[in-house]
Amino acid sequence: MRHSPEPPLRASSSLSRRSRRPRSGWRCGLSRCPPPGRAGRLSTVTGTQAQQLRKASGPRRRPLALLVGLLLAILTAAVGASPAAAGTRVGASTPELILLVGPQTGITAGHVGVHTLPGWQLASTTGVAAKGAPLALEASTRVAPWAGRTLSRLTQGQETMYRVWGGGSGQAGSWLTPVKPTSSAAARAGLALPAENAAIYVSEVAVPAGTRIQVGVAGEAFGMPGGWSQVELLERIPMESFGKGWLLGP
Amino acid sequence: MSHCSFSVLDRQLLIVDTSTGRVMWHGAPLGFPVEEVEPLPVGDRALVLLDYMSGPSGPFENLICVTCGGDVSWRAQLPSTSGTEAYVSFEIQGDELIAHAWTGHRVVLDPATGFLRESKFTK
Repeated sequence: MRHSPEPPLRASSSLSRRSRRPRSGWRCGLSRCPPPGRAGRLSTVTGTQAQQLRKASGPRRRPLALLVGLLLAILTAAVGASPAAAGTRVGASTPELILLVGPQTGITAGHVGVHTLPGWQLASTTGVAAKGAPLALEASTRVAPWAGRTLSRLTQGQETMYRVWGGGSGQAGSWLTPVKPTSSAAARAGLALPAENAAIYVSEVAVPAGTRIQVGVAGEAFGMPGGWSQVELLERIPMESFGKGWLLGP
Repeated sequence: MSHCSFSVLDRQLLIVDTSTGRVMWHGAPLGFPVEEVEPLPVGDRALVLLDYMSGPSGPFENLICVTCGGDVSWRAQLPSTSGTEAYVSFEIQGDELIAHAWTGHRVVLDPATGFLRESKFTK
């Protein structure tokens, strides 16, 4: 997607005028701001001043105005630092908010990280308004494989370890243990194996000298308690290092 | 009915025209040694697993689909972006392509495109 060059931020909104107004501290960012003298710094707005502010801008809009004002102050500073920056203009449904996004400003809708507010729209970098943008990322489905601290080290010589596999789990892979398993149930519990790993076989693995590994204790996961010593290979080792599997007892 | 056969010779892929016996292609696909090859049930193509140890550091898309002419029609999508990620084995089960990845994922791939259909962490 090519961004057509546009003139610098020159929206006809009151924001442009306010951003040139010489004052320090808090910036309101709305068309109906209280006078600077009354607003003072953000940290000092308390008591009577707060009541006056509420009176000036309406009692229900104040928290929203603070939030939007803070956001605009940050964005205005970012855009204002490079007045020649041109990018895709992100428009709001009201003329009060104009954001510049694009490669020149280094700002994208994702970077802004704001939720769309009622009556407001954020555009994507394509310049098209993105309606109904998701409010949150999906929860991660990753499990924490470790309990407590881990140690990353290089193997000094060839080290013998074991890989438990079978069912959906393959003979070669990065997850090993220095503990020689004696039963499928014990391995599944101690290594916190997911149900897809049937733990039918165990293979001896000859980890070559100089291999980077991570060592720690298997954390509780997949309804299994963990607790065994566990190793993750942080680099690939040859297939020949993985011995033939033998059957684990139940 | 496929009109070419795929085999591995000295860790290189050998593709032969089954009707004439002529070698159609011979060499290392993408420049990497071959670990395993298996023809797909339909179409004149085969799945080729390249040696994961021969690849560059970082994720290595080493499961590929090759045509009778030796062209790579797709490279299988990996289940993670881990720096060690690569495929270690694969098998065809019916119309599904199952593969195991270095990071402990079992994946189901679309044999027509190499796109990931499903991925499960099996450790």
